[in-house]
Amino acid sequence: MTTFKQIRGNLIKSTSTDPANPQEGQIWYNSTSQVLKGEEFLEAWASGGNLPAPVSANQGAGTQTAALSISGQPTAPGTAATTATNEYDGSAWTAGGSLAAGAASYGGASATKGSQTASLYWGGYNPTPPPAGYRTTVSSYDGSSWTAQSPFPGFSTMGYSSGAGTENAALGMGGYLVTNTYESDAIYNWTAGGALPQARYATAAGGPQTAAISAGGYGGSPVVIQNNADTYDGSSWTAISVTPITYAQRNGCFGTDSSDFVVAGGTPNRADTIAWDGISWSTKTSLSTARQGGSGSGASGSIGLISGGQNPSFTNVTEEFTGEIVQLGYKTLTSS
Amino acid sequence: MAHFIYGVATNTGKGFFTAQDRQKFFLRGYPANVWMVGNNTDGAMWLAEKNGVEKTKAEAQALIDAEVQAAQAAWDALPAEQKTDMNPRPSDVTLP
Repeated sequence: MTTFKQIRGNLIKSTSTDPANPQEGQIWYNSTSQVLKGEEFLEAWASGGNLPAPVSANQGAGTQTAALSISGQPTAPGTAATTATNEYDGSAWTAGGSLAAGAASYGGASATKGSQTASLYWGGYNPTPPPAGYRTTVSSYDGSSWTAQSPFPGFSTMGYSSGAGTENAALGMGGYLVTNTYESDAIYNWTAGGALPQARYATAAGGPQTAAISAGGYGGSPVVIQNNADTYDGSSWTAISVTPITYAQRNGCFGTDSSDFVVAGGTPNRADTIAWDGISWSTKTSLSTARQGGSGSGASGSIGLISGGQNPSFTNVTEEFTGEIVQLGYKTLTSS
Repeated sequence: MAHFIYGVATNTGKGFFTAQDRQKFFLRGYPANVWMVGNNTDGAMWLAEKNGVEKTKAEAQALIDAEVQAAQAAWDALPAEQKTDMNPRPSDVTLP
């Protein structure tokens, strides 16, 4: 008879109690219950509550159970950006405070590490109200209403820049063929930070102001979708390994910091999920439905969500990510 | 037996598919509310419970094509200044 050691090279440990911190794939024999057991880890995307209306190029902040979806493009290009902010409680989206019409935009940047009750949103593009173009507006959110702040300083070059950080310590990076980085403080004053190694825009970005990450996006000459990635330590950017795929996605991402970051979906119409752990990129289980332009929220790379986007129609669908969390506990292995 | 079944079902939000569903059977969504589902008991039950309407692969592809082509026609009609990197022309989607 073939033994486990013969096919896997390991013996199965016999213990009287279950291990306190089993590792993924670990198998043991519980001599007390006389049962062969293994640890089952679950990593999956599941459906979340639908947004009240389809939207793409919206921005996110917060956690999987207290998230924001901010502004965005409600239908075809040329239509006014929605002023709507929607708040998620882990099961349903409800309307939050509305942005001023002049501050709403497609693909504005948000402080992705902000919370549902303390967030910052700036920039982006809106064809209307006239004049059409990139917005310089900065707006802060307190959980119920938006307040206009002093205009963003890099308006002429920061089109489709990306955002990270928190309401009181936000980070703006990149933009159309520029390497600019801007840092804001508690009173929304913006100062220049370290320059990006490569001019890119529409990158996936996250993390706090002193441990941020920016990956993918458009760049180069001619402009094409990139797989470069960089991390920021509060003063300078450092190039890290290239991502396993090329994509552009401003905010379909979430995570803790520059050592725990997940990106899902992206242009062109991707379902891929990739993760950076501070050392290397890995691929995760895919979204159920490919999309680009969705927004991401999540305090860690293990628990987050993606909402909205287009595939190609604009969608109101949310998917929630649970990564490598013990969902079912110890599982008794049977022969069936 | 075919490896997949195809159907149309509207994503109703939370609980439409769960993490456990994703572990039990293959599930992938496409334009026009088309779903490609692993052809096992759990997958078939899921589609039935979601009031899904089963389609042949050809029927499912036709639905997808119609939605994508409508999006492509809308994109083609846009003024040139709106055909940017950030708004690429929708690409064709083919069921595997």
